[in-house]
Amino acid sequence: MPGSSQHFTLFRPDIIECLAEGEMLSNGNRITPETWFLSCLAREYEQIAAGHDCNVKISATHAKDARDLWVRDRKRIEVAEDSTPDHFKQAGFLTYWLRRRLAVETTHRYQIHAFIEDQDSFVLGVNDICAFLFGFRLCLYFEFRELIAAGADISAELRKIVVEDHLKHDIATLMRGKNLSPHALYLIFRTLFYDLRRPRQEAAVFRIV
Amino acid sequence: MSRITHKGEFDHMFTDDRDARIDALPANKRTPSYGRNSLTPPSRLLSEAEAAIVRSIGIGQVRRVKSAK
Repeated sequence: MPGSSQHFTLFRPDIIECLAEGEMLSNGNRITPETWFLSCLAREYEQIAAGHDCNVKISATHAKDARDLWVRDRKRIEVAEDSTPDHFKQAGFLTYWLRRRLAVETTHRYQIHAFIEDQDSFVLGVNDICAFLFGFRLCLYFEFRELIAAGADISAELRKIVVEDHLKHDIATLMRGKNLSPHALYLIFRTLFYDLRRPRQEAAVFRIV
Repeated sequence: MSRITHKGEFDHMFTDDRDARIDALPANKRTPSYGRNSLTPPSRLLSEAEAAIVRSIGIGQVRRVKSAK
């Protein structure tokens, strides 16, 4: 139900369309793409920051820029006529632009985190970590939704899965220091979910490159 | 200023630095970019010098070249 924060979750099957094109509600009203994107972004960033005992303020202009640039690139990466980019590629480009446009403007600790090093790392790399975790959660839903037991609260189950602190810190440092490309982020997301014991039957890379 | 998020539910998360003049622009003007995707040939006719570069690199065929005046 729109108006409930649950509505603007990343964990829904039509999330990429909602972020890019908005949503037509059953009552005939339309949520514009920008409103949908900013609502979802705020919700996720608020939760990510709260996980580090911090709160963040987002620049409306920079966040909208990031969305516009992601939408522009979505059209560019649809190179094969009969295919659409998969969620890893979508997440790679979205994460790239969120970080590049520095969507988060300010960060505050509201209490000293029990794991102070992790909190320091978050404060120093807030744009990198928030953007990365936003993309990570997007991939998480598409990769794990089949595995969540029917009837279980998928949001609660997926939020239990976290990125290990050192990996998060290293990726954030690389994103900031080496300016990782959208394609590099695509590969990071893809390999994070790649199971060597059960390789995919279909080589997805041929469909999207 | 209008609300930023749906029903203003998450507006407390934002610093409202929106500019109505920018918001009024079409998307391609709001995020200006330089150049074009270099993997696709330009729609305009190439000059002889540009066509020679394309041929020497071998990235594609040059169909038409702007004649020198």
